[in-house]
Amino acid sequence: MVSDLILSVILIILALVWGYIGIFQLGLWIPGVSADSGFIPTVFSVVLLICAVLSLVQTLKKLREGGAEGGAVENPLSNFELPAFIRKYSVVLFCIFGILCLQYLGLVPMCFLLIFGWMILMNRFPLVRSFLIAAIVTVCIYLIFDFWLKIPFPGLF
Amino acid sequence: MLANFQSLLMGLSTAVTPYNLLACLIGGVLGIFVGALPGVGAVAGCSLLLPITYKMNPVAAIIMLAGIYYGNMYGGAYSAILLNIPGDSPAVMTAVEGYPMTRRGLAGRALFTANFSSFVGGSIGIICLTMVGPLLAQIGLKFGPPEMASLTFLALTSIGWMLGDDPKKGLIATALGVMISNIGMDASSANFRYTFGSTNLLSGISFIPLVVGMFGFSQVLNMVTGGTKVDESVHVGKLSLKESMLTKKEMISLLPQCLRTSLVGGFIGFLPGAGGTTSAFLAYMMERKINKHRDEMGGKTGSIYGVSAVESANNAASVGAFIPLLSLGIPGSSTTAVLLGGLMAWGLKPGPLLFQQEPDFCWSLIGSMYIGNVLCLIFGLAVIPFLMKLMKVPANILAPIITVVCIVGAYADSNSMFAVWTMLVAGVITFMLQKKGIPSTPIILSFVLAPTFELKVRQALEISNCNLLIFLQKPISLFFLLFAAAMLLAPAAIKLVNRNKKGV
Amino acid sequence: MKKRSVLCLVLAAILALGLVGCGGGSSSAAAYPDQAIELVIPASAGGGSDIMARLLVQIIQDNDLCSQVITPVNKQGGGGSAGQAYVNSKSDPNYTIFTINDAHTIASNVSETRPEGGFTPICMLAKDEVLLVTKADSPYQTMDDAIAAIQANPMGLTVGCADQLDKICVFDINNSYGVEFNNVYFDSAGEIATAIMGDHVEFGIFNPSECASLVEGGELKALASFSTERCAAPLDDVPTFTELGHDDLVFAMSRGIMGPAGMSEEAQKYWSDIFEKVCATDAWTKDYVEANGLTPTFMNYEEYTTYYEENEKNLVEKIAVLGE
Repeated sequence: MVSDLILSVILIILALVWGYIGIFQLGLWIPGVSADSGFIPTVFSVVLLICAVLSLVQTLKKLREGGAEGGAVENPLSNFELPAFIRKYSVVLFCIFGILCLQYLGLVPMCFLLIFGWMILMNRFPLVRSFLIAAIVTVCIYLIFDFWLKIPFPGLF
Repeated sequence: MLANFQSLLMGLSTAVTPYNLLACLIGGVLGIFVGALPGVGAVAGCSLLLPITYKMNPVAAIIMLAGIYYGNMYGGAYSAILLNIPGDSPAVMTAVEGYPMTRRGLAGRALFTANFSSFVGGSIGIICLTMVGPLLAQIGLKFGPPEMASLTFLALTSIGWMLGDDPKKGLIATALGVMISNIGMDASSANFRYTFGSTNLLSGISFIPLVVGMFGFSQVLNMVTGGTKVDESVHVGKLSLKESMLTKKEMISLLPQCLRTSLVGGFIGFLPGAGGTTSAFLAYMMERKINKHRDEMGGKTGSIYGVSAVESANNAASVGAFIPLLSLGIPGSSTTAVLLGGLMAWGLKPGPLLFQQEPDFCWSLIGSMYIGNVLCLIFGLAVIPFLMKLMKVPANILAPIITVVCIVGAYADSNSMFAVWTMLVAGVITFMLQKKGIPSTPIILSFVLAPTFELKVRQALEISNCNLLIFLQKPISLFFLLFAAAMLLAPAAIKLVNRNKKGV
Repeated sequence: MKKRSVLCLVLAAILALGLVGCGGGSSSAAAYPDQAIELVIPASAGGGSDIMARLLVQIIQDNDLCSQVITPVNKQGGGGSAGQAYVNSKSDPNYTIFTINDAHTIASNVSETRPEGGFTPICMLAKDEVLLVTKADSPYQTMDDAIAAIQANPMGLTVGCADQLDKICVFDINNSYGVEFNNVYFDSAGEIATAIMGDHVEFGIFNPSECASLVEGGELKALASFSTERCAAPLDDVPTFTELGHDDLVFAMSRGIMGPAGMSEEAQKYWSDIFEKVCATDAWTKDYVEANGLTPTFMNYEEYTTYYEENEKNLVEKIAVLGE
């Protein structure tokens, strides 16, 4: 419930910002010529605003009716078992780590380290198995994207 | 027409020479492979493989390039169905209908349907190209800015209402997609929009990082949080080609709809400014309204009828995009624009005189399309068992591999690290939105359609000196607008009629 | 024990692979260039800039003029600004070059993607003439017909423009003849051509390469050109504006190569020399320049720097007057 509320509020703010910039900075209309840059963004930000407000109203109604029962079911933390919850954030952390690897170290280290690290830390696979899987995938990715398609990756490798 | 037929036979005989046949095969296979790679779309695939063809003679080169092009259309369905990562925008709807089938263990059937429908769609497209190509090109010219604006409006309005259970949430998604597409340069007036002072946002958000993040990375998040457990109760079977094949009855029942959707898709495909996405989506929309099996479509289960509609339309559209290229020298889509560059590099002059000046070339190309279509079908079917084996890899191994591919794919598109970060952010946000019931498909579809829509609306207004009535004055435009209005009002109208009936 | 030896083998394999992959990038300050170079094309695939850029890369590769790989990258949008913004964002100014034409020069000033001190001019490759074109069977078979029609119906006839440069051309025509043509933006010359043939707009501004095949094919007809002399066939029967009595309407788009701000003079000279060789090849002069009705005009980096400064000033003044 609470997260629904937060989402609606964020969407409303987004719609207001888009609409504000659209109307005041970009201009809606050039009379006699055509629509200006801000026209389409403002139109759709209005659509977003209306729908987000309607959603907000709906959520508030539910909150008032639902009461304690509604709150307990919707509490996001209790929806996930702890391991899954942590897993979700670990994935994001792994991805961030991977992106940084790509930027500073290059394609081959990124592929290898990301998969290897994942296998060991998240799946708890034995060392050798993790190595093999990581190595095979790294070789494939390297051959396809770097060797064949010649995409210029950053980093050292 | 008889002359055309004779030329076609001559073209076919050139196309089956061993050298050209090989070029066709290699092109098709490369195209399927590149198309299946998530993150490398048809445009990138063709641009990357174009230099390979420079060393060859023009006929073989264009045959190979054409093979790469429509091979891409075959391949784009694979990652969409198997991994829920569409390879390019036409495949988005394939993912929506095909991926749920994979989750039920029916990936083989989905892949078979995709290949079969792609073949039918491509064939019909090629036949149209052969028989009435130039005529269709002339008709296509009649679609100017007001007509295209209304057509795109029709597509945009249907997206939010069709997908997802709550129309409000669908509209939120559509609006979000449009608003994201507004970031960056406004082409008509060279203004910056919504860049908030960041140099990275100057060219806006690109499609590939967005789609790879929204579908690929959020998919990984889904997998990890257990949201993608294959329904174990469904008998998965031996997953061989035999198991994947549709029954004769099913294939025959698919034919009429393939015919419809290919004609629609092929026609829209060569309209200036509309590409595979618009045609695939509008064909899908049509089937959702009129198909016998429409109740199966769009739900949590996926349906071969949905997959078929999208795939036959987008293959027909990709062939359709050749029509303006060959008859007028104007590319019908950004991928054909790459092909145009290739043609000119080989010293050919695409234009209205191409057929007269280089008949061998044109008809060999068209002849090779027939053959290429068959080759792609055979190869695609042959590869299914291999792909099925791939799917047996457990999710916890697949997840990091997909993550790596997402990162690489997002980078490969524009060689920019910012794109990769965009991918990550898009994936996380989409995952969170999906948990709240806001579907991701409308976001990406409206993202793709919005720039065309805006450009056409403004062009129409500029031409008519700001006369809003131009959209109603042009007959084709009026037709599309009425159609859109009918689609929007129909559900409400039906409800009203039913209520009256009950009242009486 | 066995496990460990397997481990070592695999480790060694990975290391070996890493070294192989390392081959592409070298760490020592070798001769310039020692890395792959990006050729940024601030236009979409298939357009004039794109075809030219890819052909340049092809000629360089065919003649082994450069030891490194040159990767063409399309960055379309904003009349060239998107590509320039991308160029500005690159950290190493010596490994990116990009194509530029006058439309992009305008965009760089309007959208403020022009960096402090400007980009680094490398060379001019060719000049591209500009023509006013209409449908072949339109009621305006000469420039006089068109002028008479627009005088009877101000703002009622539209000229399709693919960038700010085209809009300047229309503006100049309007000033010189004292009329009011309407103008509409299109994404590419191809779309203008489609719109003209479909009777959605009446006129368009084109380069010879963008309309030659359609003129030859009988779909379009050129009314007048901004060139100093008549264009090559099939546009050689098109009068120039000078012939028609308006010698203030003389203009040609220049196409050149530039580098990012801060590019070293060594790099500048290197590329200027390479492109000088490219422009001397048959593949360039015969198959591209002549075939596309361009005027071959090579300027090395010194000449081009002078030319570019003056040209840019001229264009910026006109754009300011246009009020865009």
